[in-house]
Amino acid sequence: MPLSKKHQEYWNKNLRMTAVLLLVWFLATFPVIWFVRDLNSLSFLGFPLGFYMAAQGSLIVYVAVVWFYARYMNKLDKNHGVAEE
Amino acid sequence: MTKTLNKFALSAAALLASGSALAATGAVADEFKWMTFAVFGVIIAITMGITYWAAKHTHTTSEFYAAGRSVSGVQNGWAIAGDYLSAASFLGIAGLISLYGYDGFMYSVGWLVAYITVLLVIAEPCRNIGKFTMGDILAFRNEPKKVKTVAALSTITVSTFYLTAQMVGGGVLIKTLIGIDYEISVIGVGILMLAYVVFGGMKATTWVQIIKASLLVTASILLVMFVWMPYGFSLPDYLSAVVGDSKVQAQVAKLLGDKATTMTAAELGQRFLEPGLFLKSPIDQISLGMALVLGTAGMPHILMRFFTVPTAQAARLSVIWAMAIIGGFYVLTLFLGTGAAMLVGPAKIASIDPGGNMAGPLLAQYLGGGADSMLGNFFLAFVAAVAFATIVAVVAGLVLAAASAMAHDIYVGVIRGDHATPQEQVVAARVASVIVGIMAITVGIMAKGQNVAHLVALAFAVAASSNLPAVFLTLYWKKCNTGGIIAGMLVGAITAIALVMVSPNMTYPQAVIKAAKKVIEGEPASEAKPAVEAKPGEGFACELFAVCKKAEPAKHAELAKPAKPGTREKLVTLQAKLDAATDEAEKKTIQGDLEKVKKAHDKAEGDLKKFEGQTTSMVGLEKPFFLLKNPGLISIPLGFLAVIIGSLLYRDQRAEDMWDELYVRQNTGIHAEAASAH
Repeated sequence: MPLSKKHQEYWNKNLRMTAVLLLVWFLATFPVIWFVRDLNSLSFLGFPLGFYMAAQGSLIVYVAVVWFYARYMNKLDKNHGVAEE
Repeated sequence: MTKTLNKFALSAAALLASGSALAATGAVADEFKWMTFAVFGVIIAITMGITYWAAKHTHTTSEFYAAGRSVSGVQNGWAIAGDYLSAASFLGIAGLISLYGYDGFMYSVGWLVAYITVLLVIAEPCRNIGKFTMGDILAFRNEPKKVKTVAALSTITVSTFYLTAQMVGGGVLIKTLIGIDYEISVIGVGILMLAYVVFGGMKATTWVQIIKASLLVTASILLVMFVWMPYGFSLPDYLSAVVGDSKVQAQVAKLLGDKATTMTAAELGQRFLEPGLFLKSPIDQISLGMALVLGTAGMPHILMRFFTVPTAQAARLSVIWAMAIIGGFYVLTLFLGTGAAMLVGPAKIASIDPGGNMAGPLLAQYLGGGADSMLGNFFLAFVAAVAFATIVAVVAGLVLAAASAMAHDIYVGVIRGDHATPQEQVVAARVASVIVGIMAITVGIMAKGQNVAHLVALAFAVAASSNLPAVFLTLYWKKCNTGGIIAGMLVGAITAIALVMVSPNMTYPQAVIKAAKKVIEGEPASEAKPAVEAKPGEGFACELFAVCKKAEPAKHAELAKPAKPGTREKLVTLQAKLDAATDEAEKKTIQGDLEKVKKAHDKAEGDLKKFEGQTTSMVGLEKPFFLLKNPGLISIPLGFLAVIIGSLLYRDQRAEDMWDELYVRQNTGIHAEAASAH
């Protein structure tokens, strides 16, 4: 099957979104763990923030990232006519 | 087939029943064991019923390996969660949190982090290109016979390491929980798992995963409700109760040792929410993190799950569900872990199992009313049964992955050159499952008493260094070809295995003997030492290999310490004390102490005997040459590098020509089912 312009565009958009979401993923993971002591001086919902991020916050961000990706890709599939029935 | 299936069910039940007769001691008291077996029985009966139903609907290869691509996104999400939440994450993480606080979370976050890479980078294109195995993905634009052989070898290696760890861990766990003999536990798990896989294929395996995941979540939610209720479901109130608990503070003080003497009780409690009580070396953590994050994306039994859904949309939906379930479950472990620390106490948890695995079960028992109550033991029985189901389900997924590599890649793909009738293929798959299953049971029994933690590290490291570079580059790099795939998979796997063989994971007799002697003889009195400043190392390589000087952290000044008596001396003094004691209660406590010391003494003596005369490890080293526990930091980049160099040297026009086709297919998934026509 030849590679059409439409496919190219779809693929580029896919890659761009993947890169953005991987960045969010990285930010929700490494800095949060690295600077946990500093973050613990802030308070969130009555928890020290650093502790909260490790216990719940990062996990919630991950689920949101995945949810957003799926929604975005499903729409992209439809717009580019590559959705499976 | 029905008859054989019934026989399997009967013999499995008989095994479990005979286990009760042989029962030694476990967390469940003898008089309540029947209850555990009743709960086990119900779970086994339900899963066997499903297997019977699935067996009737499993005739073609697609049905056997991929449940006929009929699994919905939501169902697959639950099944992925089932595959993922092994006994280690269910019992282990709650245990680590109960013992070490914050550092315990690193295990939950660390593992969930991995799932993002799986979804965003690997899962969807793989679903669109592959058919049943990782070999199919790689064969798409490379020479099928060669890459399928290497892919199958790597899959079998990874599965075997992980499988052995699961079997040994499962055997030990069941023994600790209910006191069934180790060998019988391993055989019981093996036979049950084989029944699911051989008769029901992917369909039964999927449903076993779904049932197990829902049981796990239900059990956890119930426990958390009980833990949290007294605090009116308020987070801050609950947390301050944990921080203010004297058992938690005592644990922190114990972990910190000398440093704790200047801290107030409140500070000690707060320290429970900060890192550094369990994990010490940051480079090692990064290496482990890399292997976990990238290894999950290369785990064959996880990749395989994405072949069971009908569309790309369903694949995405399944990851959302899996993430939400796993994430939600880990949020619950916060309460399970800290609740166990507060209500049961770290000291008691560690006394039954030093790794903390019994935190969840003991918490269940406590919440039901304690060790003597009916309800408490029912709770404990329920959690034990869930743990059992967990082990069986995870093992089933792994066996299916290894068997598919053997039957689909090697037998059908390489030996028969893709010419086999559907019937022959299903028979081959079943035979391969039996072979892998028997192997798992045998290896599990042989590895009794071995430390298998490094096997898990190895499985993930090999998956990350061998499978991931090959799969990733064939999907995203036009110039990637057969030469690169073969070079990368071999280099990645071999480096990972070789580095673990020379790492601190192996047993080094000299260190064991020294530690054992210290236990028996005690330590001599030491003089006061001045503080030592941190010394920089001779470069980054020195942190990884034992060829030059490593950086040394600063040391606090130490006061003079009196000599510490060894167990030999302690046994004598305690015995004398016991003889002199007159009070009954006093006698009892001394008796208890005496038994503890005796246990430590016997273990040290055993170690001394075992390693007598040995000076080097299995591969002939006196000390570890590679200083990290996990090889990921080095072997993963090497795996990628080898794929790139191999591809550039090999030149294959066809692989480049096929790129456009792969490109369209990996995006759209059109014709995913008719995948092998190339």
